[in-house]
Amino acid sequence: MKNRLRQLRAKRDWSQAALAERLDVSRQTVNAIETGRYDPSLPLAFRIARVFDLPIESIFDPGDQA
Amino acid sequence: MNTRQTARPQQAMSRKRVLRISGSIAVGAGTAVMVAGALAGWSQANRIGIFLLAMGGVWLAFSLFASREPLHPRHRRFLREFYPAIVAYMVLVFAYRPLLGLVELPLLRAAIALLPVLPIVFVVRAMVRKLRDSDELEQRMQLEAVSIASISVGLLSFALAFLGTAGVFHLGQDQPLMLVLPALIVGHALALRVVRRRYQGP
Repeated sequence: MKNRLRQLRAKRDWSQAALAERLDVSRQTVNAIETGRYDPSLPLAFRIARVFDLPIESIFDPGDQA
Repeated sequence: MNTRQTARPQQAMSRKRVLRISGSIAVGAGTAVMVAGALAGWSQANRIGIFLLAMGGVWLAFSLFASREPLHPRHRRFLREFYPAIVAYMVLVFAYRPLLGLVELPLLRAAIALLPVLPIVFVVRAMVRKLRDSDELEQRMQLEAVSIASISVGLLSFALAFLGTAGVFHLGQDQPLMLVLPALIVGHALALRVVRRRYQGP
């Protein structure tokens, strides 16, 4: 699943560690999501959407999986 | 204001630093035990010393590749709970056999034989607490590592048992079941490194 996490984070000038702290996850988890190695759970995807104040579908793109 | 803190800022505790400190302590303790054993003529000291030196060496080797990032508070709590328990285990695992030689009463012998299990209960408690406080990716990686380790150790012991019945291979251990937990822990550590690499990249 593709996502725009890196761009959104860069736009707000947040480090991976800063975003991780806001989401209450580790920096490694943020990195794994950004690089597409890990798809977050639904609750974490909602937390991400809430942190960026955007709908989930504007952050995550399921691509062919949908 | 604490003048000592301003004069010398406290270095953040990272995985690399923890491994370096514990590895150095284990190597130092191993050398001390071997020297003391040679001076006092204690035959078991060599075994303990080699074990400590090997463990310290592995930790120091791992420290070369470990992260310099400051540890999360839940990881620091884990280390505070894990280290005293594992040190107590190492002391008891070498002490219970000589103690058994001093006791005849079966109940007391059973209690002494089970002594090393007690600190392991605290090790497991520390691991479970850390796992429960971890985020979802860490839990997933741990689950995969535990699954790989359990299946691998199960298959290995299965194969060794068949080789044992054929008389082709013998572990040279009077109680092979004692090797199961250490094998699981080592297997888990190795599997976790592989799993982490897959999720976090090289």
